[in-house]
Amino acid sequence: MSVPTLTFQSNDGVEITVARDVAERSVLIKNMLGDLGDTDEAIPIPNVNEAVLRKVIEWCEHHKGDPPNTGDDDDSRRKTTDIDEWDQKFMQVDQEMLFEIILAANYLDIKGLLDVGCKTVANMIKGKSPEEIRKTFNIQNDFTPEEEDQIRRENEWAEDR
Amino acid sequence: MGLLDLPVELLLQISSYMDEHDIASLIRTSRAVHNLLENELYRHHIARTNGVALLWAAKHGKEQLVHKLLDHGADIEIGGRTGTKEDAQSRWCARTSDRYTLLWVFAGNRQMVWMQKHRQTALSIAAQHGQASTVRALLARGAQIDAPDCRNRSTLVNTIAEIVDRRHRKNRNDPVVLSGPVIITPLQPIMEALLADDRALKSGYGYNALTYALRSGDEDICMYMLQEESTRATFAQQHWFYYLVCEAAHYGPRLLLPRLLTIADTYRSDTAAIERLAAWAKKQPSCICVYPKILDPYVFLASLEAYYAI
Repeated sequence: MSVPTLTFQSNDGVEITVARDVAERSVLIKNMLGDLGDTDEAIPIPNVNEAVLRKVIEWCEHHKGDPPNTGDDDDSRRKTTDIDEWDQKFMQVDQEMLFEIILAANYLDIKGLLDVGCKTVANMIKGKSPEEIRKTFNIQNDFTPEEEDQIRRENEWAEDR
Repeated sequence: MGLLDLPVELLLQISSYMDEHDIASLIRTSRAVHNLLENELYRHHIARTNGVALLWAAKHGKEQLVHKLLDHGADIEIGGRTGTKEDAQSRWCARTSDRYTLLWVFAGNRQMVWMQKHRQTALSIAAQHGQASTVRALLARGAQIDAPDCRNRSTLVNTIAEIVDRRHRKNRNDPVVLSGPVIITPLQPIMEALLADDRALKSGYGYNALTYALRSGDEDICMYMLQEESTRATFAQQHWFYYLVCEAAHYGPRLLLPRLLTIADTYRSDTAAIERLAAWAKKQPSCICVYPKILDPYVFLASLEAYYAI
């Protein structure tokens, strides 16, 4: 008897087969299967393209043994931006892909992956000056110099010194 | 697809992994980010420290920031004896390895640390630094006007101390020279705001404030405090009023003692006893060191006479 599998269809029409316990890292899929029962048909994932879907599945496969998230660990979660080594490597992708992964994790409701994604972005911002942040994320500065100066003075208390 | 194309709730989640310093940098990048995450900065800071930045805002007179912090639930008495203890906050920060807050509290702002040794509230700090509009804002938002600090000084007493300092010393370490100008700027509007509230004078702080000026030899400030009709009435009704007269007699200023006796004449029925006590205090200064918990000047007078008759 082989492992039960599911088939996903990305928004660009590619079908990918996944072991069922891997797919159930996604709360969305898990709930859907709970509602519908088993299915042999391909499950369309409308918001996610093939490349991103493969990345997401890769992450789920690596983390299939993890204990399930309880969801109420908000406080402990906030204290750290540590990411384990495998996840760090996994997240070494271009920004476009990183944001797509975050969106997909959010849509598929994969809490662990969403956390890792958000932490990665937070770490990209950490310790940078506003100008460096603008460069990193290609953000247009639409403040007048006066406004910028005013906001800087307003937030002086929060600055590193 | 860029950072700002992410839905708001995801941006908020990302910001939840950042500390204040990084959020402050991030919101300086563009208008959209600023509008989106500015509140997050305050929420974050308050969740972490109950709003220590309120003390900074008070010191620098950042009225807008005071309002924003209070709107987001900052503790208005933070740093004070009744409010959240700031060093407890710092220890908490240390445990959670919050480097930036620690830096802010301990290294980044030495003078703030000095003030916080005495547990002053935001109101007290704002008053001491002459930030009149911030003082009014804090009072309007319900800051406790008679919150004592570690040296048992209320906001009013700290303000008087600061006025005495500014009038007579160029530097903190200079000796006191009694020849300052009579006008009490820029702390005058603050004094007015504080004296307008009865609570600032009651429970002994009026006494502390006036005797602080008295002992520093600054009669002008004493007279200034007694300018207003309502303030005079409040002073006269306090049980410590006759100690005040004794002190005035002892330290011997020209104008204050007659003024106090006139006030006693107007508002009290026991002027005779108070006058005799003043005479005692002049010739027998040690009697004002006897601080009995006696509310009635006649009883105090009787005990004094009995004591010195021996």
